Amino acid sequence: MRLPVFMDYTKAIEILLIEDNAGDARLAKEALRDAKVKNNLTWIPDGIDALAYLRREGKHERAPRPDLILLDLNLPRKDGREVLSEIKGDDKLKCIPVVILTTSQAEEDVLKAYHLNANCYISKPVDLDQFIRVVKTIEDFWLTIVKLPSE
Amino acid sequence: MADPFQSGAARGGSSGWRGGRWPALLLAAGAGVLISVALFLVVRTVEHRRFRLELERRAAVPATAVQRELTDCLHVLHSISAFFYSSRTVDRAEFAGFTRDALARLGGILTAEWIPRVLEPGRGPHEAAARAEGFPLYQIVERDERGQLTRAGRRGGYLPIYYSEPAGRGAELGLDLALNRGDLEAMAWARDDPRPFAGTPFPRLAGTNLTYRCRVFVGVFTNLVAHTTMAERRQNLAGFAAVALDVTPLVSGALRQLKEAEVRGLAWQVTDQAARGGGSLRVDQSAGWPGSAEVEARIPFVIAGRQWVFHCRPTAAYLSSSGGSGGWWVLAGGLMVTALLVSYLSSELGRTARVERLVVERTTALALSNEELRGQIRRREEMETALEKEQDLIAALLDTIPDHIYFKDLQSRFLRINRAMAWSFKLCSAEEAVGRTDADFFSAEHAQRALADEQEIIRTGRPMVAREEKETWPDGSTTWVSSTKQCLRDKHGQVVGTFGISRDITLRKQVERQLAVQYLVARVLSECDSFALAAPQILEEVGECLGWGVGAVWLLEPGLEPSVLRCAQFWQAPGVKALKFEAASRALTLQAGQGLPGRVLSSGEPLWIRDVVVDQNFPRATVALEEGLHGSFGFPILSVNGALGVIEFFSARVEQPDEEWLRMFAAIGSQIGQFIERKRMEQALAEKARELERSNQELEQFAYVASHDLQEPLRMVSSYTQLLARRYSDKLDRDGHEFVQFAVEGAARMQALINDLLAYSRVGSKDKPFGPVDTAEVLRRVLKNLEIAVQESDARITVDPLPTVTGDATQLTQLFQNLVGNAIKFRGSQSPVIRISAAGDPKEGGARWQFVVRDQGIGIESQHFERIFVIFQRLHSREEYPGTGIGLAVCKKIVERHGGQIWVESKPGAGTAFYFTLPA
Repeated sequence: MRLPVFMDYTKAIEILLIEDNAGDARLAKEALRDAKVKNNLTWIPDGIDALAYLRREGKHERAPRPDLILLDLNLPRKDGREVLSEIKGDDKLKCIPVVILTTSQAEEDVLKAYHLNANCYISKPVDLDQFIRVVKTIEDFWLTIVKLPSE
Repeated sequence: MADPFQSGAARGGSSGWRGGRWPALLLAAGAGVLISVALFLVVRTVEHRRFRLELERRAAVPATAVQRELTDCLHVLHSISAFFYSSRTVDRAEFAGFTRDALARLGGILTAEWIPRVLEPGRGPHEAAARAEGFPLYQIVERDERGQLTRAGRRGGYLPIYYSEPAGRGAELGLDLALNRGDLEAMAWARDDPRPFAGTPFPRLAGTNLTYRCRVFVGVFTNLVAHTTMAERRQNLAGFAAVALDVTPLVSGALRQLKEAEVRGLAWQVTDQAARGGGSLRVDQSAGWPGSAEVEARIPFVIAGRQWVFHCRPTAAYLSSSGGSGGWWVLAGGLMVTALLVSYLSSELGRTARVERLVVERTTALALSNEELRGQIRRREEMETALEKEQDLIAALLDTIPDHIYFKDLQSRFLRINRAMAWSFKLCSAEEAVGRTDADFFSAEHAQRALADEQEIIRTGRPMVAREEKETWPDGSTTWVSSTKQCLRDKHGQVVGTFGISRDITLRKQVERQLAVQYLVARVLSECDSFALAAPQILEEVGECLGWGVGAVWLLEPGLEPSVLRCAQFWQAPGVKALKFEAASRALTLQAGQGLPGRVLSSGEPLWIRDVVVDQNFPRATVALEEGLHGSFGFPILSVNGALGVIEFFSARVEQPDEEWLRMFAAIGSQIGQFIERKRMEQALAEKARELERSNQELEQFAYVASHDLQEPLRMVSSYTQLLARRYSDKLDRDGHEFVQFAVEGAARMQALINDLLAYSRVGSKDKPFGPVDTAEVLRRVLKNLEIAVQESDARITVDPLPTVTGDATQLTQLFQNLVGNAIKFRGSQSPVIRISAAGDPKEGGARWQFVVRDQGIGIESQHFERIFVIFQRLHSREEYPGTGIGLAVCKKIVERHGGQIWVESKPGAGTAFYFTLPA
């Protein structure tokens, strides 16, 4: 299910959130609502659909190219690791920074993600304030500090 | 003579020689005298002999003359005898006329006489006839004791002297000569023998006594009657013709005929050797006969049956003319030569210093060569001793060595064998084998092969070294030997036979075969995963190794009671046709006690059957006979739980039981049984391990998924409760906020639990290989992680020098972090004081390190020492000390995963020390 959040394609930063948990998606949206940078958060809850979106396939024919991808690891249909692998294996997509935002704190998950060229790995904190702080930090770092390649 | 030894030897030799000089001269002089005397004696003897020969030669001349004269006299006798025989009658005048000439010519004949044989009846006429002839007094007379002539006494016959010419020479007419014993003997000889025989000598009646006289008789037979045989002569004897010889005129007459020179210087004597009494009677002798003489020639001759000797001695005149002084000249010359020689030697000896030196040198050289010779003799003796010793050694070797040693000629006949071999041949002594061959002791096949080998060795000259051979004895038993054979050569290198040594290696061969079988079985078992795979290989390998062509494996039918054996594997060697036997075996089921497998099963022992065809308890006997199977043995496959099956083998021959073999197969049976048992256990174990692994994987997967998936709802609960409290803060009263607080805290605790559980389950599931880990570095990281807690608690932490261990750095970090974290957490009222140290584990001698994390906190009661390491076990309320009760369980799991131990020492209020060991 696709939920377009911001439709301003001209100025806003495009963020793709691939997350099967609606609660987390909502929290992320809440956290980004008061962001310094104007952004468009697109939430796609499953891996296959997310890749279709990124490749502008099917109904995502007109989908924008995201500037930042927030990727959960536990996804239905196609696992987050596979999605990561495909993104980083795709010449057109591999420049898009991918932030792994997931519940797992397991060492092997962290290691695996970085092996698949994830740009950073962040565990979701249980505490709400901490969660919001983490999302704001992501926004702050990736959207304001880091210089990303233009399209 | 620089050599002092030689010099000394020379001096000694010289003085010794001088000491022997005079004896040498004396010896030479003595020898010279002796030789001279000996020569003298020889010359004298030669002279003497020559003188005697000359004398004998000279003497022969008169002796021959005397003999001739005597012989002439005797011829007269024969003439008279012939005259009587040829005349019808002979009267006295005719007799006188016939004898007159002879008597005149021969001076030696005194008278010639006719002595008729007169028998008693004829005496009267005889005497009458004589009286008629002019002898009126004639009668037959005899001489009485006083020598007076008297008329002869009356007797059977008379031999009177009837005619005697020349008349008047003193012969007593009518004297019966038969009474003179000597004359009678001579007449008896003359009667039987035609030769003349002499009668007893008689002296001349008066006057000279030097004249010797005797009568010589010749038989006269009746005229014109044969007198050839002895009987005729005795029958026809008419009487005797006799001459009385006077020797002196006879000899002088004979000598008168000789030249004066022929008898000059000679004195002679004639003796009658046959004189009565054994002595010699002198018959005549010349004037001047020397009483004694060095030399005398004796010339014997026999006349008229008497032995006469003509003696001849030289007179002084003869001696003076015949020389004979050569011996004395020789003696004188010899003595002179001796004197000259001795004087020459004396002077030579006085001047022979140089010669002496030479002699000394020669003597020394001789002594040296003598010494050398003695040395050679000694060496030869030593060599002989050594040789004897050598022979003793060889004899000892041959007699005691258990190997067979033998020497054979070119035809492979034994020349010699040693004692051990003789025993094997069942001979009393080694000599009995000489000349015999292998064929006398071994089977023909073996003997032929050995002969061929030996002929090959003789032909090529190449030895046969350490060849392993099977010997077959006449009783069929076999032994294995290692044989080395070689050409036997004489000292010229000529091949004269072979010799060899054979060592009995039967035992080794058996052991080798057993080892081979054991090795094969062990190899097959090690290569196979199950008995089902191993069984056909065992049958094939063992069967081929032993040369037994058929084998089968019988296994117990599972779950049947009573036990039933069924043939599970059957093998036959290529070339063996045992299809019917296989079919029969596969179709058969055997209970305990039935057939070979059944009997082995019930006894649990190996069984040997020499010939299954004649065995009473062998159901397949008929088929076995049909396919030529005889010898068999079987052995049980034994495990600790009893027999599992039986393996049997069959041979095409009748086989003698071999106990060693059976013992070995009993062991192999156990080995196979253990193999089967082990494989079963291994299989069960592998199954269990696979299950465990599966369940472990499931558990880990579960733990991971659970902790992962449990956290999301938890976060939802926590986040949205907080969001709710924040958004609707004004709408919640105090209780509402408190409830929200509880919900959030619960969620946080739940998350801690889940994370700890996750960590716990991850230890051991993550197979990160161990490597060297510097624990000092680990501690630095831990303290960094715990920086906030350390600052907050104002802890004083001392870290002693720590070693590098082998392990997983992440887990060790967690280990130390948990322990240091605990030490901070369970502090008392004061700031924590913590010390971390390590030492070599005294129990392990440096292979392990023992670490201590010591604090001065609240301590633990000893009854909890075990419990604290169990998961979820807590000693305090959550309000006092928050925690999940998993930390120490994780520590224990990490330490144990590193092969170490962890324990605690503590007293309440006095602090706690956690000990654990890690590999160096």
